[in-house]
Amino acid sequence: MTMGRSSPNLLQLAGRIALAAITGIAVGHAQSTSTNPATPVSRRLQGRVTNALDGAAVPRVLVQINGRTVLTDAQGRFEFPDFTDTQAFVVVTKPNYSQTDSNSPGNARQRIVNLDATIDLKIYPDATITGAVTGSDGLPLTHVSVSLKRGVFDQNGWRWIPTRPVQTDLHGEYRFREPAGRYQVMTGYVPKSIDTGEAVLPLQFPVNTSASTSNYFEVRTGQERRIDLRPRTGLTYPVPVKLDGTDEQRGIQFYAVTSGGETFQVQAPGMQGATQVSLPLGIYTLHARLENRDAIMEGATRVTVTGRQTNPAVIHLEPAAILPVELAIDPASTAASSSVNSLPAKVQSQSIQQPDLRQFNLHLHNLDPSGLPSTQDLTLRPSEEHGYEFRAPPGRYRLQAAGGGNWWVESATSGVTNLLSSDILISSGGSGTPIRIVASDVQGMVSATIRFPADTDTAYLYLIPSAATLSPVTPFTVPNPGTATATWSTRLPAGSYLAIALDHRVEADLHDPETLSRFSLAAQSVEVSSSGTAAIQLDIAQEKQP
Amino acid sequence: MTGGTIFRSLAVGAMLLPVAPRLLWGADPPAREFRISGVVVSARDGSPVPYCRLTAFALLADDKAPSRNGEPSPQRPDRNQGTNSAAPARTPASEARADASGKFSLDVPHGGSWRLSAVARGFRAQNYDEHEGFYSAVVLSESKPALALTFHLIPDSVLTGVILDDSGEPVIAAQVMLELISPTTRETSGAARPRQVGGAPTDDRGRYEIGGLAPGEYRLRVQAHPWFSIGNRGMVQLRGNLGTQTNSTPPPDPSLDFVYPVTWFPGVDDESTAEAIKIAPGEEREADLRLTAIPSIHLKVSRTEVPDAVLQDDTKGQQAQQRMISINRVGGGPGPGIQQTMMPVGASGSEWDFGGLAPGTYEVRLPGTDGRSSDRRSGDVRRIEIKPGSPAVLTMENAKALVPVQLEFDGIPNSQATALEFVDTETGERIPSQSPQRGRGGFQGGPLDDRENQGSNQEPTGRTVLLEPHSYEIWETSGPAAYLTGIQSDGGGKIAGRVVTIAGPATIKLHLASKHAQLDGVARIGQEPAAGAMVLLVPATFGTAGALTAIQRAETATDGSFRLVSVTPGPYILVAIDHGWNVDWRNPATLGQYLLHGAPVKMLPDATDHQELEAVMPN
Repeated sequence: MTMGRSSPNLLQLAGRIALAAITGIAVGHAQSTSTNPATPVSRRLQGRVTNALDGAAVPRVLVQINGRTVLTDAQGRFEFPDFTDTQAFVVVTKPNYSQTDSNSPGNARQRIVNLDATIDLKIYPDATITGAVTGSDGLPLTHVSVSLKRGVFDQNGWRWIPTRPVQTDLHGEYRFREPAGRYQVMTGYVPKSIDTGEAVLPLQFPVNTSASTSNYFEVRTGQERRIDLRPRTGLTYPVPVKLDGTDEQRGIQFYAVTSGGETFQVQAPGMQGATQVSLPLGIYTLHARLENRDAIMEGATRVTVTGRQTNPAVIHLEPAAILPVELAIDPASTAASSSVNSLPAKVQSQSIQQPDLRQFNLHLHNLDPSGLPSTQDLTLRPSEEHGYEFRAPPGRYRLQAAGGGNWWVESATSGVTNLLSSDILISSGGSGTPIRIVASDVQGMVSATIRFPADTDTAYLYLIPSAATLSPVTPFTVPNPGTATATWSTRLPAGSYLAIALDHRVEADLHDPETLSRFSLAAQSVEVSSSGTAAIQLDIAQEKQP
Repeated sequence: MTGGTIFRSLAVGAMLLPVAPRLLWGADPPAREFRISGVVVSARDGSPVPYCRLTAFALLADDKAPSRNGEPSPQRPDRNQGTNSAAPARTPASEARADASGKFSLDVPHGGSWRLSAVARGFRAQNYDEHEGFYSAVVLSESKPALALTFHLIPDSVLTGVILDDSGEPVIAAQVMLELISPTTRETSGAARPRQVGGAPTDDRGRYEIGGLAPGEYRLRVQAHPWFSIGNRGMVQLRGNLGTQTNSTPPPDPSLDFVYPVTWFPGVDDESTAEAIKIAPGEEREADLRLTAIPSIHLKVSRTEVPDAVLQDDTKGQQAQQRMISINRVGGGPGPGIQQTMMPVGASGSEWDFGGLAPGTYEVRLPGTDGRSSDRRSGDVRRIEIKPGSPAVLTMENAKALVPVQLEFDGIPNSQATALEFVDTETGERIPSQSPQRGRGGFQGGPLDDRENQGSNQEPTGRTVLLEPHSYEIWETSGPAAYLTGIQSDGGGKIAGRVVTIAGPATIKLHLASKHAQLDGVARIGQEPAAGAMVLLVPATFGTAGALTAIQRAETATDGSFRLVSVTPGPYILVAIDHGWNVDWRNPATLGQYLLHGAPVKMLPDATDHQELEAVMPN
C-alpha cells in the first residue's frame, strides 16, 4: 500500500505537496506495535502547529485528520473532540508553507502515533525565488515566461519537475514561492519582445554544463534567493527548412537547441510548400519531430544563422524504433501455479488477478535527452500488432518501473541484454528488439523492529534489494511511538535485501556501497521468502561526521 | 462613385479605414522616394520618446469585397479594439527606429495609404493619431511624397494592488479583472456595458499588476475561492449510486464551507455600487481590496429532474461525458461555484448537492431526453438568480426555465447560416446563436455565399435559441457580408426595431440582404484637409423606433480622406467633427446639434457614393 496520499482536493489546495508523485514499490502492510485493538475510546485530539524555522505558532492552518477538518486558532492550536478512531493520519495545509522539507516523494500524510499526547506539527515556510530579467541594454524585459524546475529524488536519481511558469512584470521581475529544495530556473523563448521587438533566447540558471558540476541551486526553508537573468536577445532571420524522409507537411514540430543546451519550440509557418523558421544569429541544433497516429519521426541538423541569407537546414526524418513489450509470468507465481492446476480458462480469468503490463508503469528514461519535451521519458503505447510497445527515437535509455500492486518485475531482457542492470541503446536506423518482462507475485513478509532514541521522531526504513530492480527504493516512514521500539511489517518481493533505518531520507544511490558506508551502522542482510516472516532488529544509523 | 482606383485594406477594421479615393499609385514613377518622418513624443508631457520602433503597413488597393478575413461587421455592438496593430498586411512592412531624441525617418516603397504604428517601452503599440480603435492613415502621393509628423504616444498606465482576506492574509491566485467603463467602443447610442479589458492573478503576497492600460475609467472585479474552504471545491464527483455517494464524500464542514462573492472595488458585492477608477495617461494607480467570505450556498437537484432513460443509460466514454449536470455562473465571466459534474449512472438516491455557489446568476443545464447535455440550442436549460441574503439551500424550484425561440431566415443564399447575437438590453449579457455547423466547427464569419461551409443537406430553414424572458437587441455577427432588413415575430415575441421582447415561446423571422453601400469622402477645413477628424454616418431614422441601421464612424487620413464600407443602404446624415474624439456623440442631444451641420446622403445597395464636406468644430 502506498501510504499517505492526501486527498486530491488538498493537493490542489496546497499546490505544494503535489510534487510528490508517489512511485516506489507498493507492497505490504504496515503496523505499529503501539496500536491498541481494544474497544474504541472517545478522546479529544489536541495539537499545535508551529513554524519549523522559528517555532512560532501558525494561525489559520487547515488541519485534516481522518476526513475531519479544522483551522488552527491564533495560538496555532487545534482540537478534534469526540475522536473515536484508533489510528489518525494528519495532513496540514497552509498557503506559502509545506508539510515537509524533503526532496523525496513520500508521505504528504503523517500518522499520529500517540493520540493522547499533544500533537506537535511543524510546517515549513516556503522559500522565495525572485529576480529580474533584463535585455542586453540592461533594461527590464516584460512578459517573459520564467519557469522553475524542482529536483525530486526517487533513487533512480534526480528528476526535474517543472512548476507552473510565471511572466515577468513591468519591472522585468519574476517571483516564485516554493518549498525548500533544489531548483533550476529558466526563461522561455520570446519570438518578438514587446519591449524591443527582438527575440529573447531562453536561458537556464545554473548554466547547463557538464554533469560534473552541479546544475542546480539550493534554497532552504524560508530563504529568499535572488537570481537575475540576462538572456541573449537579437533580431530573427529566416532559415529555410528542407525535410526529407517524409511527405508530411503538417503537424511537424520544430525545436531549436542553443549551444548552451537550452531548448525551445519554434513556429514554422507553412508558406506554399516551403517551410521556414526564424531564429536569431547563432548556432543551433534544429530538431524536427512528427508524431501522428501512424508514426513518430525525428531528425535534427546543425544550423548556423548568419543573417538574411542563411543556408537551408536539411533535416532527415527517421522513424522511431518500435520495441514490442511482452509479458510472461514466472511459473513460481501463485497465479501461475493455480493455472497449472488446470482450472478451466474462464474460472481462471475470473478468480486470479493476472497482471497487465500497464500496472508496472514501465517507461524508458532517456539518459541523454536532447531536451525535447517529447523525448524525456517514453511511456508504453498500446499497439494493435504487439499489445504494447515503446516508440523510441535513437538514444540511450534506461527501463524503469514503478508500482505493480502484488506483482513485481523479476526480469527484463532485450535479446541477451539484462535490462535490470544495462541500458538500451537505440542506434540510428535501428529496429527494435522486443523487451521481455517476467513478472512474479512471490512475496514474503519482513518484520523490522526499530529501536528509537528518545529524540528521534521518525525513522526511515530502507529495504534495498541486492539484485538490480527496475523500481526505485523508497523508504518506509516509521514514526516514533514514544515506547522506545516500533515494529513495522511489510510484504516485499521475495529475495535478498539490505535493511537500514535512518533518521532522515537519503538523496543518493543506496545500491552504492559508498553511500551506505556514510552511516554509523552497517546495513543488515535479510532474506525474504514466501515461507515465514523474516524478522530483523535495527538501531537507527546516524550519518558519520565527515 | 469615382472611376478611379479604390483603395481597400485587408487590415482589421478595414471597412472604416480612411483612404484617398482619387489617388492613383499604379502609375508611380519607380524612382520616386516616399518617406514618413517626424518625431515621437509622449502625449502626457510632449517629451520625446527615445528609441521608439515604427512600422508602416501598406493599406492595399483591392477592389474585392472587404473583410474576407471574417471580421465582424461594423454593425456589431462592440468592435474589437486594439487589434489593428496585429493585422496582417501583404506588402512587407517598413520598419525604422527613432533616435535618442525621438526623431525618425521611414522610407516606404510606394505612395498610397499607410498605417503607421509605434511601440516603445512603456507604451502600447499605437497607430498614428489613434482614437478608440480608429486611426489616421498616412497618405503619400506624387505631389506630397514626404510627410513630417508629430506622433503623440499615450504612455501606458498600470494598476497594482493587494487582495487580502478577512483575516488580513493575502489571497493567492485570486482572479483580478479590469473592466473598461469609458471610453466605450460600442457603436450605438445609449448606455454601454463595461467590457473586460485585462486581468491578472494575485501572487503569493496577494499582489496583482495589470499593465499596458490606456487612460480611461475602469472598474475592478475580483473572484477567488477561500483556500481553506474544502466543502465545495472543484468537481463534486458523483459516480455510482447516490445512496453510497454520501459515504465517500463526507458532507462539507459548515464551518469551512465558504465562498467569496464576486467583489468589486472598493470592496462591494453589488455591481451597481462598484467605484469607477479613473486612470490618467502614464499613471500608476493602486487599488487594494479585502474579500469577505460568506457561507456557501447549495443547490439541490432532485433526480426526478433527469429523465430515467439518461440515468439508466450505461454507455461509456464520449457519450457518458455528455450526461452531466453543469452549473455555470453567467454574466461577469466565470465565477466561484462553477462545476461540471458527471451524471451518475444508475443513481438511486434522491438528489445531488452542488455547493460553493455565491450570489449571482447561474445557468443549470440538465441532460435532455436524448442524453445529450443541453446548451443554448436545445435541451433543458434553467436559470437561477441568487441574491445576497439568499437561503443557504436552494432547489430547482428557484430556477426559471428558458424559453425556446425559433429563428427563421430569408433574403440571401444560405441565410440560415447567419450568426446572431442577442444582447440583453438590461444586463448587457450576450447570447450568441450560430448555425450548428458553425458552432461545432469553430467556423466564424466569412462570406455567406461560401458554399463549402454550408452543409446544405442537413441544415433546416431555422434553428432555436433558448432565452430568458427579457428584451434583447438582435445583432448580425456573421461578418459584413449581410445585414438585417427586417425582423418580425410571432407568439411571445414583440419587435421594436432591432429590440425583441420575449414573453414566451416565439418565432422570429429575420430578413437579410447582402448588397452593401460604400461611402468615400474628403473632409476639409476651408482649403486644408481635416486630418484625424471623426466622421459620423448617422441614420436619418436616428431616434425612431424600427430602425435597423446603426451609426458608423471613421477617422480621416492625413489628407482628409475617409471611407466607410459595408454600410446598410438607406438615408443617412454625414458629419465630420474636427478633433471631435471627445464629443459625446452617444448622447442624442449632443449628436443632434452636430447633425444640423450634416449633409444628407442616400446610401444605395452595391454603390459607392462620394462626398466632400466641411468639418465642423467641436463645441
